[in-house]
Amino acid sequence: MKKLLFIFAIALPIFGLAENADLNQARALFEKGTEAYKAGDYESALTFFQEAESKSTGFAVNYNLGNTHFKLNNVKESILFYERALKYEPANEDVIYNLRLANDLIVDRIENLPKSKLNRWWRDFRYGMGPDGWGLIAISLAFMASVLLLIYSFRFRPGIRRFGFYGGLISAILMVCAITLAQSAKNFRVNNISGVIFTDKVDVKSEPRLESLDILVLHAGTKVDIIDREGDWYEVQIASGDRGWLRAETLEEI
Amino acid sequence: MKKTGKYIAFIFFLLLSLSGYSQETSFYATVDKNPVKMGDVFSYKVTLANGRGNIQPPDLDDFRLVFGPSQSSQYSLSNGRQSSTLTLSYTLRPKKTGTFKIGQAKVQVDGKTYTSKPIEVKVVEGNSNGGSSNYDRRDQNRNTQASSDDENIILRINLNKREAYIGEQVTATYILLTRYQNLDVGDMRFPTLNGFWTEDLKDEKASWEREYEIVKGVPYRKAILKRQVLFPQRSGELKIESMEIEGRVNRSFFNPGREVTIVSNSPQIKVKSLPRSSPSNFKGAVGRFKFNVDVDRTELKANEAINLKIDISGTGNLPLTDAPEIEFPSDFEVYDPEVNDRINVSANGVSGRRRFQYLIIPRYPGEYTIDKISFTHFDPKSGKYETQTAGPFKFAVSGEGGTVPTTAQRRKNRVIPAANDIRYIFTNPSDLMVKGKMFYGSAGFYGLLAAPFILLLIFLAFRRRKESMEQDVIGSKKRRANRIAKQRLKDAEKALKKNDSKAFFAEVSKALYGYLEDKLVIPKSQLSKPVITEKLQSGNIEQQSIDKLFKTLELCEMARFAPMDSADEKSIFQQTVSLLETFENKLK
Repeated sequence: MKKLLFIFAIALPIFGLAENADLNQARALFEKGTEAYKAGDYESALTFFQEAESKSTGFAVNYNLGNTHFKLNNVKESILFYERALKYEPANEDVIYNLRLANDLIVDRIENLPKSKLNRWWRDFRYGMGPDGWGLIAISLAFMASVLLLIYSFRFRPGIRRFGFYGGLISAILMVCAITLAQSAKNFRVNNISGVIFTDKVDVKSEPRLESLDILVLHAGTKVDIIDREGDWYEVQIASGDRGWLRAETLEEI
Repeated sequence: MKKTGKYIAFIFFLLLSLSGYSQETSFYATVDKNPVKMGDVFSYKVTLANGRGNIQPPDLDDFRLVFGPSQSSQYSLSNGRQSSTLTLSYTLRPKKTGTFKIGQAKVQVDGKTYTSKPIEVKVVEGNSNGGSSNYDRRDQNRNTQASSDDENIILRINLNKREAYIGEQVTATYILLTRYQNLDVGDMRFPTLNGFWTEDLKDEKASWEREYEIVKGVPYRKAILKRQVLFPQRSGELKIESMEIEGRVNRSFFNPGREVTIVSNSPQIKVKSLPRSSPSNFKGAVGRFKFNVDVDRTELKANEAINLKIDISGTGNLPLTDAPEIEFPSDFEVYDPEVNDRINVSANGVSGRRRFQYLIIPRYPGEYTIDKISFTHFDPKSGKYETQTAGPFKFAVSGEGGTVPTTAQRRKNRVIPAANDIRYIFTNPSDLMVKGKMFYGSAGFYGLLAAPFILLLIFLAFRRRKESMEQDVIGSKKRRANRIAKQRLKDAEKALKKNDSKAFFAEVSKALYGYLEDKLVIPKSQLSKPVITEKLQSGNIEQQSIDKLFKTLELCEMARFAPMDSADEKSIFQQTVSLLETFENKLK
């Protein structure tokens, strides 16, 4: 009983902090934006969602911004926000569908390797819960491991003690796995590992130098993976696997 | 009288038909060369066919008369047709270069005056081709598209229209004109018609026509090689590529002849697109059509068949016409329509009718309506869309006619999205999160993660200490038991010397009880005779000593209330000391 109280004492302020004023404001703006979108007034919906996005984050606000930009014919912006929404829910059907429609409208058509169902499922499993989800799972596993080890420490029947020992061991191992996954989910969400081209036409260079050879030409709306950074230059890779360098300002990081 | 009247009428008709048999009178003038080179001679002929009269030649002062006029006449009768020609010919030589007009020749036949068309003769410089080329080019541009300098053969593609709407029919005629008596036509390469949908006239075979065609006053034999109806499919200037013929002229038994390649002109047609404001049910029909819908029955039982016929008849691009859309009630089973064409292709274009025949089976009884069926075509003459409608048709379906079909037999609509649009937004604001704040990696996260293990360790450590402490207390109590007992006995000895018997017995019983309590680890609350006996017995103490112990304790109790002799007190003291010694030796 004392233990439970102790956990609450630690956990309450963490979750309590989340419910702050900014978030309430963002929620009100979000609802206004939804109303405007429903009425077909996409310009004001855009302003509301943008303000909501400046105060909060998450799947819904990014997805709605993508939709609103799409309706206003801002294709590259809509692709950017859909990609950002995918960081929160990497296997969301709606985003994938809308993103495909948006990608049909851009200039570049890059041969993309189709992702298998298993791959998509794995991505969803790995990133879908986000770092916090995996963190909570890790904590639950930690509790389970300690309770099972506690059972082991008492002088119960050997069967129960064995269960306590192995159960505790497995829980501890799973907890380490969950922490690893939480870390990778955090990297996926926080690190800018890709970007969307935001200028109409970009010459992709062979080296991070203006005088170097043009090896690719990309157009607005194309998604690229960021592989390396060198001053103002990013080394990027497109879906077909080709690589090259471009200036940082031509790109908006996802 | 009646009979004679009939007879006269018969003769009258016979005469009439005979006169119809004689050929029509024609009158024309020709030259055998045009243009003419300076210094050459050419002949000018005026021909009167099927007539008799005095030919008045035109003024020929622009040319020097070399020979003539000479007159020749021909008469022929073939297959009961009689024909005669009277020809007046002049051989002329030009006086100077330039363009000269030979005026009309006139003749009076049976009181009617016939005139020939005037001929413009171009006279060009010398023998060189250079001078004539300009004229040649222009002339050829109109008739033969370059290539063969041979003016004796002309290949032409004639179009009956120079301007048409998309889908409006245009007739193309491929004509070969020649002045050679002997022309073997070899390979004919008709143009590939890009941008047109074509329909050939199949009933005609190419052959030389009886009539001469006069081009610039020069008579040519004429053959129509092919006729085609063209339907332009896209707007803009469409060019029909030229046609080519490989042929051989003047071949005879002795002469291998000469190979010629004849290239035709390549006419252009301006295709106008249809007006923008097309009704939604317009499906590309261009022409003049009549639209008719016919239903064979309107009252029937369920599962009986209805025949619905749609006839589209008229002139236009019938082969490209689709059935109008019909909205059938969903309980009707409708089979794909059977298309039945009766289409003629003639020089006037494509005409006829196209019939769509639907077989419809209502599956359930009830009152049904097929809404108005409308058909829209574009009329190129008026330049407007015209819509004709038929219906609506009402059907009364009665009774339980036969079996109700299983769901598998019923027609199903495939659901196909008509347009692509993005999916709707998310409307739940509870999904929002605070920016940059992440539970994972925060102090709280690590605290919560470590807490259970820390608590476990604390718990384990605490329990161990408590256990060891308990162990320790018992050991020291055991060790100290004898010492405390001895202390108490000393106090008892002091009390004995002072003759304080009450204090003496209290000390003795305290010493004994305290010793037993500590040494045997019995809590004070459980200190009773059977517990002590049991513990002592398990400690290998003889029954004799146990009895002695309880006797001593009893005496101590009694002495508190009833005073005793000092001698007894001394023996009790001795006894207690010896008991403690025995216990201390035996108990560990």
